[in-house]
Amino acid sequence: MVMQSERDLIGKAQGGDQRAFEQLVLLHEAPIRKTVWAMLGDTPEAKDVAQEVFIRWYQSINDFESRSSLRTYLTRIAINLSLNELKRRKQKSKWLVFGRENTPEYPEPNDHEVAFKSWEAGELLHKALSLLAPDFRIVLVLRLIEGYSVQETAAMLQIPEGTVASRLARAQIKLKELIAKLDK
Amino acid sequence: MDKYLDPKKQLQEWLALSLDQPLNPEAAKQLEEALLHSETLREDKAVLLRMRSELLGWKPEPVPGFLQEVKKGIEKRQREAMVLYLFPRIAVASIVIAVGIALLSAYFSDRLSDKMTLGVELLEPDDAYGFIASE
Repeated sequence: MVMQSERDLIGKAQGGDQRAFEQLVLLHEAPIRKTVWAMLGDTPEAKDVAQEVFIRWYQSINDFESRSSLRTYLTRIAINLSLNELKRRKQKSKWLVFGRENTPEYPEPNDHEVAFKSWEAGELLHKALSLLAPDFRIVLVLRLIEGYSVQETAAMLQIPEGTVASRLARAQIKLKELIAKLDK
Repeated sequence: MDKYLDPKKQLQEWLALSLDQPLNPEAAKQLEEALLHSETLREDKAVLLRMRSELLGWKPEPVPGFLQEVKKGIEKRQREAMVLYLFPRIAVASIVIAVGIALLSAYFSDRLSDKMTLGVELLEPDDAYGFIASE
């Protein structure tokens, strides 16, 4: 029933109905923001990237075919844009050598020392997640935060299921270790 | 068991893997035995389960005006797209108009008369006779 009404809304939005598009944004805003937030942390860029997901979808709304669910489609855009943002940050931190010392909110993986000093204890899990390498972070976000199955995660990332499972296992172990280190 | 992996690390990896998919029978048996005998491994399992449960329950803070920001972003992109679409056309039209105005101005100020264009403006009758005689 819900899927049917979403399909109707998509059809209307593709026909130029602004209100239908707005309803779809409201429907998917929270999960998409959650994905981006988990990937990028609670930063101003995360808000921009979440908005960009819907803008990109609107721009190519007529190319969207209902073969995959809209949520999966939007999540894929969110993951790609988040990875672009992470790459941009990495590039930026390469050039801004001095700036990096003053911006611990974007710590690189294994940068535990900087991270530990600047963080509140209550945000340990989220901060530990932001220290994971992007490959590990993506599978954790999709499987454990978004609740996609291993098969769906593998299909979304276009990697074998075995790779997803092993990355997921290592990511959880790494995350547990990071939390322990940050909690000292 | 992977002989290149530390047995403790191997057990932890199996433990994490077992939360998402069934292990092969041998690994499952070894993990089960280890869980029976190791307090640390049982604690690890409890931590992993708690961590997973917390991750699943995550909710970002609400962002007021999210939809309005999306709409503003779309309008901005549409304006930019319109400019990108119109700019080359306006530029070409402007160049054509400018060249046209320049040619008309030159024509009406006699700097671009028919004779000048044909190159006969300065030809005197004597020159013509001289030319015919030389032939």
